[in-house]
Amino acid sequence: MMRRSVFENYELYSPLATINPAVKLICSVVVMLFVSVVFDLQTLSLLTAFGALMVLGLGRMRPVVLVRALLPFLLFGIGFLWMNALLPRSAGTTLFTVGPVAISAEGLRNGMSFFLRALTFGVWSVLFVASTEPTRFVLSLVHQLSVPPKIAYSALAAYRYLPSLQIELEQIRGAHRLRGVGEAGGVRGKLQRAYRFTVPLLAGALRRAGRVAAAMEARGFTGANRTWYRKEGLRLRDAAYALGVFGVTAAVIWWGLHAGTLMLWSGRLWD
Amino acid sequence: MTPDYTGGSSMSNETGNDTVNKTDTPQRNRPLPPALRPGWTMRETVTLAIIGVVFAFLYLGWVQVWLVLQSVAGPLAMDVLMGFWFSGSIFAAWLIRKPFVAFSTAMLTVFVQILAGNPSGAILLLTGLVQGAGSEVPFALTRYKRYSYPVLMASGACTSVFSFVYTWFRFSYWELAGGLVLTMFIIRVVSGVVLGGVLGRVLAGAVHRTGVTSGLAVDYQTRSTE
Repeated sequence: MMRRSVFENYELYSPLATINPAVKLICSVVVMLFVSVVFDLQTLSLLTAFGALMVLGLGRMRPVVLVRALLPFLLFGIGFLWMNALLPRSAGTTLFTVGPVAISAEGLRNGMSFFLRALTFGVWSVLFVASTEPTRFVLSLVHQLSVPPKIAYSALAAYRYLPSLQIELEQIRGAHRLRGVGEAGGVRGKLQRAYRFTVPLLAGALRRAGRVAAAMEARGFTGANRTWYRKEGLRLRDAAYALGVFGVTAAVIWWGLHAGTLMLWSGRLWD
Repeated sequence: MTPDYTGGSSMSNETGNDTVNKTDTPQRNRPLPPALRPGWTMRETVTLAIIGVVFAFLYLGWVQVWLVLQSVAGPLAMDVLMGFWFSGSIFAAWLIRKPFVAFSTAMLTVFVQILAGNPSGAILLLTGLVQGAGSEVPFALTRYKRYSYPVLMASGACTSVFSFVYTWFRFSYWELAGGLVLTMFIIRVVSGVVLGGVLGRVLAGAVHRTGVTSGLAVDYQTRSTE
């Protein structure tokens, strides 16, 4: 239910939706790559706030929808938060104890930074996903990033399948209930149930892949020598968007450096 | 329910059931079907993409299982559960049987997971590269000719070894006791073989039996050998 809400609520009449999808994707990915090496809470929260403002302002997304879209990221983040707070890799100074468990300051800080990072990722993915029409995205992949049309169109077909997976699961559940499939308890029952869901899910997906491929070939799609009905181009506003995103990110970094709060991954693979 | 006019008796239900596939197709001099030629067909490209999407969805669900088990079993949970994260590559390789299927599936699932919200984020790209390369090696060694259980299990084990080396660096395993690391290694290889190789093959076999794989390489090759 969570993914459906993200994919079905894209706001296509917002300023953000008019930006070239490839440019938007690259901007989001660059911010995410940067975020994955940042560890301090201040930079992370600033970048999250920046992304959220973009989605709400330029993206014209309603706050309720944004919160709903971020729910899976929040749940993930909370999982990482308590995992790090309760089970730190190295025990540090104890901040406080709740019953038998000691919460260490380091663990809590690491957990918070994981939590915020999950949120930053969430906001910047939603920013892209919720304001991009998949067709335009694929056209722009082909035109700006010179992805072969055959791969791009296959990816498009598959990408559109993701939101309907949840519906597919509902249907399988309904079909099981209709046939009176009993649900056994315990670990064994859970595994059995998972298997009963996975096989039809995969079979349905492969059937769909076959149909989509047949439909594409029936329409003469070979990927070669195409002409285009629509062509995605680069415009001034795309440059302005990229400059804006990178400018604000750079400003956040500069400010963090200046105030001495910026904490980057030091390049260590082990510690 | 279509009425059976030819039978007309109460036994007609049973006669309708024995339409068994004829597996002994006569050998004629026909050109190879597209699935057995070197290039990629449209069908295979779309199939691979969709397998990537569905397994990314399953892997994200598995992350939840991992988080739960992690709270009970600690870091060993990752080694126990690791294999399932390889199963998609083995599943796709068994069905499509072409070079780079396993590797591409691993990379695709990583991209989809990043878009759909795996908090590990960009570091996952590195994980995908390592695991994709690991599962590809055994198939490459057979020159993409053999897809039997041992080869698939070897693929799972090889992915485990690759990923163990990677996590050795990422989580500084040399600081742990030698016995523990050995235990983790053995558990992970077993997990790769069972949850990766065997489970991937079992799922692929179950899906194959539903008949949706007709026209893929697996369909021609199992027909000729079994």
